[in-house]
Amino acid sequence: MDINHYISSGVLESYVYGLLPEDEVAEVEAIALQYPEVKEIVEDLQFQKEEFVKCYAVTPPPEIKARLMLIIRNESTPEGELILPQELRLNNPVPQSPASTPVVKMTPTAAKKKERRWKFIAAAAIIVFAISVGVNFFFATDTNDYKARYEKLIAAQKQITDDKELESNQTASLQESEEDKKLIKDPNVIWVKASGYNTHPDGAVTIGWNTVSHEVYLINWRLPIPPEGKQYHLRTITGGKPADAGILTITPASNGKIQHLKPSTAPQTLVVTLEPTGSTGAPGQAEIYQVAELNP
Amino acid sequence: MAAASTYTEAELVQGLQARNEKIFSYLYDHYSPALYGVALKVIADETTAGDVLQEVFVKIWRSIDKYDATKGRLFTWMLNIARNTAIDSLRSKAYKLDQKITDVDNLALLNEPQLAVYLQVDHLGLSKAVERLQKEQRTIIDLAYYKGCTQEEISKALDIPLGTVKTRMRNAIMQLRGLLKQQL
Repeated sequence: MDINHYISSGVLESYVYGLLPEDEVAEVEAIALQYPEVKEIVEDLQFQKEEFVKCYAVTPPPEIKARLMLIIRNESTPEGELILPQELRLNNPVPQSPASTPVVKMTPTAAKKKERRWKFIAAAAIIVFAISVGVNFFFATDTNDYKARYEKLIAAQKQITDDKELESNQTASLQESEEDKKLIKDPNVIWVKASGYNTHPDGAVTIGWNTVSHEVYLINWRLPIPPEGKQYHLRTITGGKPADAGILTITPASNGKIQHLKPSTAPQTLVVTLEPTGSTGAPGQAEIYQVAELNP
Repeated sequence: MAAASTYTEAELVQGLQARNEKIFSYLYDHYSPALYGVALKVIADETTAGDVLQEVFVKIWRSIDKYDATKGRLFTWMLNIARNTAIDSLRSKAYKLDQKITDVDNLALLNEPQLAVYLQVDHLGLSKAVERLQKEQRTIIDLAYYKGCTQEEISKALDIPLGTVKTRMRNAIMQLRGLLKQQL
């Protein structure tokens, strides 16, 4: 090969500026490895291109860095995965947009501060709640007004407890068994963040389906503990037909951990319902809490 | 920028491979303006360019093991990721070719000194030099490098024969090279 002719043909410039089709790129790279003089010119051109590109340098908005640091810090947790754009997740493909995912953003030191703050808020809420109960007792006749206030405070207190639980769950999820950790990154498992339903508007669970073994998994983040005599069921719906996928274990200790449920061959929709213990899944008995669509 | 490094490229690569957050943070601080500049030139929309920049750094973090030092410097590799990601995003937005041309025309405004407030001081002379490129040559580099147009597309868009595109492209790059050399 006449290497001088090759150098003056302009192909190296085109290579460095990304104008060559892939096969020609490979050719240039092979030749550069073989001929040091070609390699030198390519490096020279690359350096000059970089200087050219730097002419247009712009400082990006600071929030991008904050978001990136959060992503790399949380990249191996399910919640962290959900922050990522879909094509960058390790367990690609995930069929649901992460846009609606609530994410608790915090740094380790901020977490401590926040925890302390939550303790104060929780204590304050309990005191306010106790006062409210007392006042409620005194003014029992004014039930309408005080009932509403009482309920509002209960809701506020529950939110605080829930948020606190979510926080500790995220730490708990880091201590999952090695096997379960692998599932998060398993390309055969599709993970979907469920959406809330009707009077339960918040997404509280992440549901997974193994496209190979057909196993169904569920991670609870903040479903409330079921009341006495009731339990949560996971039901799959395929072609309009519901099927039982098992009963969920909802305890503070189980939160943030992967639960293995009954396998399903091709679930389309997954629904978490609250039903009386021993329920047969008859309509009217089940209250829908969470819904997830799976589109493999 | 890179000249002020306290880390060598090899140290940066090792740090990233070892999942060192501090190194990542350092890398971001030193290289994000150049990469964001590329994204902005390609997309001309700050929000999308920001998303592209985020994606670029996640790709760098996740695929550092694929970086091959024999093919070029770390910055070259990162620049390629930035350009390809931005052009992919541009394509996915189904920009029409004429939109790309308008973008390039608008970008020419960015070269006006009074608008170029963000230019790095040490590159002011250089950008002046780049301004000396004829407009048609700069348009060709912008369309090819920043918009990912093929030579055929450029030929159609600018209504000039393919052969002319090739020679003009080469001349543009050669001339740019000459200008850059004078400056460096």
